[in-house]
Amino acid sequence: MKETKSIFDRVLLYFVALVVTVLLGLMIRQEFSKPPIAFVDIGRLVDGYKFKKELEAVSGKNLGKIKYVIDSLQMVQRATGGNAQLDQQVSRAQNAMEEYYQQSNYEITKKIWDRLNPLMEQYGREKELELIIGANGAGTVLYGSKGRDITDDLLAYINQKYEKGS
Amino acid sequence: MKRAVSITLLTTFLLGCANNDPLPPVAYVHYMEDRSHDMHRTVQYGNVDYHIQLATPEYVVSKELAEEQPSEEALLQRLEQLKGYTFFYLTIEAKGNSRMNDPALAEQRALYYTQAAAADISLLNGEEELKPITYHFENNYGLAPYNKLLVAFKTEDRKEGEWQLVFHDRFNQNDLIKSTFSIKDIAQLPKLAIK
Repeated sequence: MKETKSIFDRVLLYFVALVVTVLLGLMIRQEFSKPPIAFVDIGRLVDGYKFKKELEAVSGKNLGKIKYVIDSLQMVQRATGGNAQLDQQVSRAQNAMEEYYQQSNYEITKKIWDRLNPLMEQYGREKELELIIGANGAGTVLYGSKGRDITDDLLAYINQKYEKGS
Repeated sequence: MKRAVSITLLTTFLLGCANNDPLPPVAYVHYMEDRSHDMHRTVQYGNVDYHIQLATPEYVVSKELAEEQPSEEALLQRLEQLKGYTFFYLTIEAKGNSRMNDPALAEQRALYYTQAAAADISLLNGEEELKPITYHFENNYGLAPYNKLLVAFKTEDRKEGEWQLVFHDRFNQNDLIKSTFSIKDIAQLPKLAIK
């Protein structure tokens, strides 16, 4: 009876030791596999963002319309030899195009970051990252191993959130 | 043989647990508003959050039930009226200072959301674009930091693909607010328990 109890105790001890070892192993693995710091190639991220592409398509269409007006005016200018009023109209249309181009570029950039910032925060929280560094090719990240580069994963994430919502 | 029977029974049991039993109105509303069921989405855009709640006729009826206590017959009649339509509740919430809570813009804001905004909302199913069949703006006169819109589309007969709600909020100059819902997921939502 005593011997049976001793065998049982030993088995139980081995079992508990095994469970503790496995749990410890899992914890250590999790700790080491977690990338607390990652970097993103900002240029590639922004260029691949569908939102940017669609905004640019709209802005491009509008620019095309202004360009069409300028081309028409210039055609008339060439055909008639031009006059002061026509020259002024052409110059005004060219200024309007330049102004629209600059304004829309500024707005697109602002809109992109308005949407990217909360998404990156959400991504960082979900992936339990402690720091995301933006590499812009100007030396902010001098070297980063491939394992720390989350650009592709983040790009897939932001595009999915853009189409679907969070 | 015994093992095969056990596995079959276990699978049947698990599948049985997963099936969508009809839900009473309050539980139905909670189910739909629970983010994990994918019928409620948020799009963050600078200082403004857009909360999009997909609303089936059952959801709309359940919300109405919170205020009235209609008879079973009236309830079925109401469900029949709404059948074939998909609704979206859009809550636009301001965080910090934005055009949404600027008192100086109250009139302009109300004017845009009462009338013009409906033209800036559409529902896409592949190449097809639907425009709202009905639209309502709940004017809170600046008393709350959010504004609510209700928009409905005639969506009957569609069984495949996805519905994508697209909103160009011209008042806030926030373009391309998108939210996508799978038609298959909508079809698999629990039924509403009437009685």
